[in-house]
Amino acid sequence: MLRTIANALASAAVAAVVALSASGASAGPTLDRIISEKKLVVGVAPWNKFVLLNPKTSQYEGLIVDDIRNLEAMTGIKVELVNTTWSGLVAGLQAGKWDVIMSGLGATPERATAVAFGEAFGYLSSTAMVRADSPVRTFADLDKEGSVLSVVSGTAAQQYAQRTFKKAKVTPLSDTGAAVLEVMQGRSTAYIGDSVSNELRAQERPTELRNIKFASDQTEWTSMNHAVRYADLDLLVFLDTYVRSMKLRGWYRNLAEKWNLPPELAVGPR
Amino acid sequence: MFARVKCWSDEIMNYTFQFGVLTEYGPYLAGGLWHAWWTSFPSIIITTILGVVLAAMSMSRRWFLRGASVVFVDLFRTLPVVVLLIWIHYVMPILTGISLSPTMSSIIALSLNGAALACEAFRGGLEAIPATQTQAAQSLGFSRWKVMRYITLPQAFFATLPSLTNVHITVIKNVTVTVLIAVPEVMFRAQELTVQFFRPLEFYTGAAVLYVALIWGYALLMRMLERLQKWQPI
Repeated sequence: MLRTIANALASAAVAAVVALSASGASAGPTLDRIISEKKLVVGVAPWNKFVLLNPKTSQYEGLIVDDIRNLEAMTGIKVELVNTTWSGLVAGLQAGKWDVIMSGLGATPERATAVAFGEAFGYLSSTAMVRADSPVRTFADLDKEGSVLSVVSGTAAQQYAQRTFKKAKVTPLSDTGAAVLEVMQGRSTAYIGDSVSNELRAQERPTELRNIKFASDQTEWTSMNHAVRYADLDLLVFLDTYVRSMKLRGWYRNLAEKWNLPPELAVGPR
Repeated sequence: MFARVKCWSDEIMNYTFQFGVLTEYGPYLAGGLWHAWWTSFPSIIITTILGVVLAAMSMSRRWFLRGASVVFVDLFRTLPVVVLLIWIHYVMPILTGISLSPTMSSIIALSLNGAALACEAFRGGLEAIPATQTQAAQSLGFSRWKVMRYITLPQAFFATLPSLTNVHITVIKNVTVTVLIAVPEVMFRAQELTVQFFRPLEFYTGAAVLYVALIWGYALLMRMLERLQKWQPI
């Protein structure tokens, strides 16, 4: 008799837990609004071949833009792009000016204290950009006393340079233009930046700049991720589902090919 | 155009200037002037009106009006515009829930900073009007408001115009700082184009030329306004 009552109580408790957990699986306010209004506001910053406002057509173009348009087509959620600066991306997210950052922000433990990063959809390594007439050829040539490395302040490349180059002096600058000019004017030995942008710069100015790739055990990889506020983790789950599905379909590999970017962008370190 | 530039480090720098990019993307860059003007013009208007009010407050008999003016001027004259921009655009939404567009945030920040500078310019102009004029007007039965409206302000305004022009030019130049919160003005567009074509020197030179043209045009307009002067300080 007691056993029957206990079993009945246990069954009732399990049923109650299942019912409660089912009713508790509703989305948070941000995702609710996105789904009901069918509108997602996205913060982006200019990045060649990834997100750029074409000055001739006034349309956004690039790998990330194609990905966003694909997300739009698959979910029916209209995406509004807000063009900002790299320094304003996280501040704007925290201030609620956009729902998500989709600008290929590199995930690092330090940055994860401020925003929640999703699954990586791309990977970049660090390379060095030197003057075309520079004698520097290898990682060892750079890591010497008297060597000056310019980096953009606050980037993953700055952290990599400060951790990796023990003998060289690392000089942080406010933006990429200034950091590369330091190299061109001979004030810096090299500019440490991401592999894709450095390769593009070297192709653009072959008589002035040269890109030096490091061995796999000398470089450092960073991932490209979407980022949301920690209060909107359910939105991240939604976006991660999309990213995972598209990775399995080879979508990012195709995009890298379309935009003439290295295939390792989609697969990362091997 | 090929240039060999001697650096401070005694190294020869080969830099190939390609100002041709400006012929292609100059119109896009110049399009930023529209945003620069519509950020600076309202800021200039607010700066001037608020500057006059603050200057009048600073000369009031009431201590709390004088105090409020001093606090405002000291606060917004010393706060860097960058800090103001960040606070208004990114911090205010968190604290109050009020979220403004980049242009609106910029207008408020530039106006607050500009008004503090304009107040000092106007105060100098007001204090330059001899006290005997005020006394003469009051002896004729003018109220304090009428003395300000008909005697002091018209003279002070024109006496202040040269230094007020400087304040306005500072406001226009501060628009370049709004690149930080992505107002799509000339400097922001120069940055966008630099990311795309890796030609910072060419695009920033183009931006400088456009700003010089805008400021020079504005200074010319203010000089014409100075010539309209109807009241000469006595």
